[in-house]
Order: sequence, then C-alpha cells, then structure tokens
Amino acid sequence: MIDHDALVHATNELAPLPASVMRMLALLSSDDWSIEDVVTTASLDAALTARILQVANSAASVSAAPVTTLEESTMRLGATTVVKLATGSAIRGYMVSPKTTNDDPDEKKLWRLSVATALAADQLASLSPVEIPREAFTVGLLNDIGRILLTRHLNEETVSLLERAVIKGDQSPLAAEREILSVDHAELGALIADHWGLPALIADSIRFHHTPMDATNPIVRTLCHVITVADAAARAVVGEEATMSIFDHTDSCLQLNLDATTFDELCATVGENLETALANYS
Amino acid sequence: MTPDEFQFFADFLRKQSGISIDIRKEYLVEARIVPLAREMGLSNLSALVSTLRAGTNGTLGHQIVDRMTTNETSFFRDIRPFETLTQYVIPSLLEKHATERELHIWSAACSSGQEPYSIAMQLRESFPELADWTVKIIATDLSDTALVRAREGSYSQLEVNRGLPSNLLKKYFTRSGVRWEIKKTIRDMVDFRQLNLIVPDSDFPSADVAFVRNVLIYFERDLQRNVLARLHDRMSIPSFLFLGGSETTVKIDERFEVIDDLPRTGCYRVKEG
Repeated sequence: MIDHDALVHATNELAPLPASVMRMLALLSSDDWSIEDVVTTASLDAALTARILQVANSAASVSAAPVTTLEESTMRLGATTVVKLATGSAIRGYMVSPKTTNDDPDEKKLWRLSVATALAADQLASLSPVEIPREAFTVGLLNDIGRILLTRHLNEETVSLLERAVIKGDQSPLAAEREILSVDHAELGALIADHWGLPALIADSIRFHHTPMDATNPIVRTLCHVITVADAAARAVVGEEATMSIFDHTDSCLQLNLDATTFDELCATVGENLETALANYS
Repeated sequence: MTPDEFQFFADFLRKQSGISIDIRKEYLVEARIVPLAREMGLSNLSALVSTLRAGTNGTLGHQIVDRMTTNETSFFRDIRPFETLTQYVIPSLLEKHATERELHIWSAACSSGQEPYSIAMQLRESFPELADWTVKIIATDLSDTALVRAREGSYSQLEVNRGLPSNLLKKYFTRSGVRWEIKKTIRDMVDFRQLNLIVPDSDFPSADVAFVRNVLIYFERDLQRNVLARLHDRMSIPSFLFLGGSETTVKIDERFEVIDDLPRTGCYRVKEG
C-alpha cells in the first residue's frame, strides 16, 4: 500500500532547515539568550533579514517612524516574534510546494491550519494557568508536517480507502492511517523532526500529538494537550470542522484548566491574527 | 464486492483464522486483498471470491489469511507489561525456578517479531543472572510472511522509532542502508514457529509467561474460551499471562486471576488450586 523505506528515503532527502532557524530554535529552548543573539543569528541570513525589516515596517507593525536596521526591527517586533517569523517562513517552504502554491487547495489549507494551530498554541500560554513550554508555537506549526509527506506518496485509491475507514469504519484519521498504511502522519512528522535535528522535545510532541497519554515525558504530554486544544481552535477558525467543539477535547482542556469561555476567547484571538501571520510567513 | 460476496469472504476468514470482520471493514478487505487479486491477474475482489468459492486454490486461501492477519505492532508496545515483566514476573519466577534454572516464554501472534525481541532485550538488560539459565522464547504467528520478516529481524526507521529506546537501538541493532538489523545475540534467543491458535490440535508451547496480547479481541467468545483453556493446560503454577489492554479472562476463564498489585498491566496469574 505504501513503501515505508521510500518514506524514510524521502525524509532523508528533505533539505535541512536553514542554519539561522536551527540556531534560533536552540536559543529559544535555552534559558540564556539575549535579543543580540537573535539579531546576530538573523544577520547571517539575508532573506530572513529582509523579511524582518519588511514585517517591522508593515502596516500592522508601524506605530512610528520606519525602521531601517535589523537591530531596530528586532527591537520593534520582539525577539520571540522574530524567531516565529524565521521558523514560519522556513517551514512554509516545506509544507507548500512552489508548483502548487496557487492551485493546490489541500496543501494551502493544511498550511493555513498549521499556522492557526501555531498561533493558538502560542496564545494558550497567556490563557492557561498551566505553564506552557516555549516550544508550543513550533510544535503547532510542525504537528502535521508528516501529513504533507504522506499525502505526496498516496494515490487516489488509497486516499479513498482512508476516507472510507473514517466514515464507514468509524476510525479516527490516525487509526485509519495505521490500519491501512501501517504508518501514521504523527510518527512520520517525528521522523522529519529527527532528520532536521530538532530537539527531542519537539519530535516527541509531534509523535504523540494525537495520543498525549502515550508520552512519558510530562513536558511532552503538556505540549500534546496544547496541540490538541490548539488544533481544535484552529479548525474552528478556518472552518474545517463545523462539529469541532471544546467538548471533543475534554481531557486536554481539563489538563490545561480551560473552560468553554476561554476556548472561545482563544478562537477569537487566532481569528484576528491569522491573516497577518499568513502574510508574514509567505 | 456484493454483500453476499463479503459474507462469503468473512466466513472463510473466520473459519481459517478465527478473526471476525463485519461489513464496516470492507475497506480493509479492499486495502489488503485487492493488491493480491492484482498480483494474481484477477480483475477485482469479486473475481477473487469466485476463485475462492471454486475451492481449487489452497494457496490463495493461505495468502488471504496471511494478508488479513498482519497487524500493527511495535517494540515494547504499551510499555507497562514490560515493566511488570521486569519488576514482578521474572523476579518471582527466578525464585521458583532456581533449581531447574529454566524459563519458558511464549509470544503468541508475534507478527514481525517486535514483541519477542523486546522480551529478549529486556531479559538481557535486566537479568544478567539468566546467562547460565535455559531461557526459551518461543514466538508464533499464523502468517508465514510475518514469520519470515520476524526471523530476518530487519526493521525500517519508522519501526525502530516505535517504542525502542535509543540505547537499545545502538546496542542491539546494526544499521544496514535505511534499515536496522537486530543482532544475532538477540535473534538467537527467539525460536519462531508457525502456529494457528484456532486449530484444535495445534501444539501450544508450555509457558511460564505467555504474551497473548491483542489476539483474543478478534475472536468470538467461544473461541476466546477455547484458546484460554488450551493455554491454561500448558501453564503450571506459578505462570503469568499478558493480555491486551481491552482483553480480559474475567467471565471467560476464571482459572486466571488479575493480580491485585498490578492493575491495568494486562497481567494475569494462573490461580492456585
């Protein structure tokens, strides 16, 4: 049905993440970094520098005079925003292939959903009383990256079988992948994260994002609950699943101490910021 | 596939393997059997069912069962049974078998071998004192194809990523291209055999510990009772049975009991008396 070694080979063929992004993610994961570290890292990447300047001077960011240097731009946006900008711009290149940018609705839809999930995951840090790991945004952005690779290896017949497993067989999409393909997008996403050399915390959070209780590391488990709720909010915002509600994710909401009102607030905030984020990462 | 053809297929599968499937699983039949039909030059599943009905092709029946019974597995699947094996089961058996210094472990429906190899690695890691014992790990499966894979002990990166700690990967596997091969020291600890659990006179191995996980779930109640009874006949006291998370012996065979200290581990003990 699908050649697992071919999937592994395709993963190994993926170009590495830009060094600037890897460095910034490492900074973000550590406790000892400054805004100068972010500026220095960004300055080594011309495309990223241009993007930071552009976003810092965009309508959404302009509050006073235009900024002309990387230092000023980073100060205006904030270091964590710059890291997210770098990560988002880089990941988009892997999730939306150039040839399909304008006409592949599935890849564009998945990218839109991923950005919304990342925004929601990030926003949960201020809405949940639980301490949310700093990696939430990155995991949100990457949680479905395995789906891209998987989809690119499936023919129409197999896609149809997966759909029937969900609709007629009453399987979750993840269980359907496991049953039909003996592999699922979450483990494939973790494989990609490993290939890129991302921290184990990120790879494991991608691996268990549909099965939080399988994670043994409590930080990973928290991140998985974050992604579960963020994904629900993202789907509500992009209109992917009309039936999605907080009640479908009771356990994750309980773990993060969220109620229905907070969930609505989360959806509203993501809705307000999604188009700007998509524009910034394009 | 018409409903009648599906029913014929489902009946055939149940008779051959004990596995029950209903019409909601038609997609699974299509996913696993259409490629076989194509390999045989048949146009579709209906043509394959016709061939099966003609009853002239014994190999075909075997291949169908082979494809339909190959299921997902992983190293150290669900982890808790392996923790229980290490912390409770083996220590108690070490004491009881100290004189004859023999230990018999059975991994039933072992698929591509991850479970028996996990047991072997766990014993190597946690019980060096077993080095001079006779430890027999017998692993059985219905599927010849799965057994060939199990004996090869060659796994994809995706398979070794499922549940296998990196230290054990480095210690007990060798990289070969994009795949990982289990080392001979572990492979030689496991004796793989073909065995159909539902055949009445099939030779169940004797076992101090039996892993029969996620097998009974596919069987109807009478068949579950039959398998557990025959298993019980091959187990002495003390012996331990591991079942899958959604399986139980309760109200099926009360000669097994849940161990109070080990809730939710899937571990049962043969009752005394």
